[in-house]
Amino acid sequence: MTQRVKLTYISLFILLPVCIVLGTSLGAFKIEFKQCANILLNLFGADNYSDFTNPQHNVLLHIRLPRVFLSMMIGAALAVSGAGLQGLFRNPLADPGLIGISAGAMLAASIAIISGLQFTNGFLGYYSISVATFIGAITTTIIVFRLSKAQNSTNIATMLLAGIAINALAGAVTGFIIYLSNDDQLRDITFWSLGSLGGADWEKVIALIPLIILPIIMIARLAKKLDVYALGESEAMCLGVNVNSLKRKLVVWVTITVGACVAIAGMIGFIGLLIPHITRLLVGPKHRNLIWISAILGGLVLSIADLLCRLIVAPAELPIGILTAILGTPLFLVLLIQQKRKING
Amino acid sequence: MVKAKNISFDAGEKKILKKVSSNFENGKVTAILGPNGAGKSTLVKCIAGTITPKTGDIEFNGKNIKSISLENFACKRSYLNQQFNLSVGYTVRDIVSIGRFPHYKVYPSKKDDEIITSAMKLLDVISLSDRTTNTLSGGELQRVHFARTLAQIWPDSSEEQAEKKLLILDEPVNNLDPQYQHSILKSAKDFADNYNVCVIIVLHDLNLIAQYSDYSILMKQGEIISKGKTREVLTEQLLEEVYKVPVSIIKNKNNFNIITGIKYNQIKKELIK
Repeated sequence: MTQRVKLTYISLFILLPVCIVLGTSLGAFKIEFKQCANILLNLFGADNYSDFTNPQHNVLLHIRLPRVFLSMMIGAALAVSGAGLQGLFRNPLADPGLIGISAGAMLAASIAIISGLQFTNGFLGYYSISVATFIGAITTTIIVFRLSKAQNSTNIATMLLAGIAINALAGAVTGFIIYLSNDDQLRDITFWSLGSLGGADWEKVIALIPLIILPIIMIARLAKKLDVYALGESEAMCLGVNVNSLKRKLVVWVTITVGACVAIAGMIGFIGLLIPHITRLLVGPKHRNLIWISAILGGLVLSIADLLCRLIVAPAELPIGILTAILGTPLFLVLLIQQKRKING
Repeated sequence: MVKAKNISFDAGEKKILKKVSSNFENGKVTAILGPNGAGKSTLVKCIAGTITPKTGDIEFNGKNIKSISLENFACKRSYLNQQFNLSVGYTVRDIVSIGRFPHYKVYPSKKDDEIITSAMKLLDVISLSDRTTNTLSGGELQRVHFARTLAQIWPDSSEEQAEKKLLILDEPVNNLDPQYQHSILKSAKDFADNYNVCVIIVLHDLNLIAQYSDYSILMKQGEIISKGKTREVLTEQLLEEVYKVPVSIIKNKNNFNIITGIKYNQIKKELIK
């Protein structure tokens, strides 16, 4: 590991607890840094600090802390998925939207909203939109993946085109559903499409852990193969990589984890595109470091973005998709221009 | 030793290879030559296993390559493609290291590192080590990828009993100046002579083929029209017929050179006059 990579890991691991403290102490409901630290310390059995009130304790532990964890997990999952897909498409502009995940999720969520699924009672009722979204995301990706298969091998260029076509179709059907919807439903659909981490609780965090941690580990295990794949498909084959299995595994894990993220938090753009890009500037293109550092950085960035969403218009909240796009676009353009200058000398 | 038996390959309606059969000896350099579109690259892709022929089988050291696992074959055979993807951001050392990929699990061993360094020294790219590939010239990039290809099957003293290896090069001297054209082909020939590697090279330059190959296979429109020892196969008459340009062969006991575009004997007479 080079000096630069080590330094990046160390600074990110220092920033991680800082983000947790900031994310749990700042907000519409006032909790001092010191109180926040004491509540967190209390969790680990140090119960001689108790200069905080019960509501503060509850807000921090049951509202803010799960929200910070949720944002970190989702940020990590989106960033890792982006890094993986950019490796698969051998293109730094790829993101999970490309293979139809977001469009399918959007369509499924709109159908769920106008069919009134969310008003049904019971466990499945509460999570009905999430479940529908997850299924929608996975179904569209399966269709895209199937379409790109020819003679037992997956053609990446076809996959890209199939993705564009399915995105357009899903978009059109979603448009039709929006046309059918009433004003309340329209509002729900619109807000869903802008993404939100509101309503985070421990149940959601726990439900997401296997759907995020496992795929991240599995994608990271493909790192060495993705490095070889960067040389080209036939080169990878000659170096002993089963390229079809690589493509299949990557698409499966990305779909599961992004599908789960979208189901819980709606559409959050730019993290999957931008974080791997920034990471590559920090530590270079080799996938082992790229994937792990993207995971940490993605978590940090999304938790900070979510914090800003809560602070900017407090006590109301800004949809997080708006913020990631507003902050992400100029940053992305700066990176693009810089990179172009670098290449042109 | 590689045996290609009745290899056919179609691209849509077009028949690229028509029942091609040939043997490739260990410890020898076999050149494949012929006009554009003769099917040379397709044939070596079939041998390398990156495409599957429509009919026919490839045997490597007596085993059908279909029955050899990808990982196992990767330690024995390396293949240099005609074109490279731009692997943006990877350094020269990263690229050469990827050649050792089949030999280690997570991190390269000390031995792998030594091999990577030796391969880079052999191809004179060690000074480019930390440059990223998008800053290299075409010729430099070609040498870097050649170093990667050699690193993949670099002779390993602990493997003396192991199976013989296979090196496939598809137009390895593209973009190179004469110095490196000769040094690359010389390294390939050394691999054949010293380590008994079976070397297969697709090459257009008749003069280089004459100097570096032991055997030649001349292809045209998906068929082999002549094969055998280079000195016997490459005749003025045959080459002129295939390429439709004047060809002169200059040879004595030690030298064998081919010039295209002029008839050397006529000029020699005029010069003597």
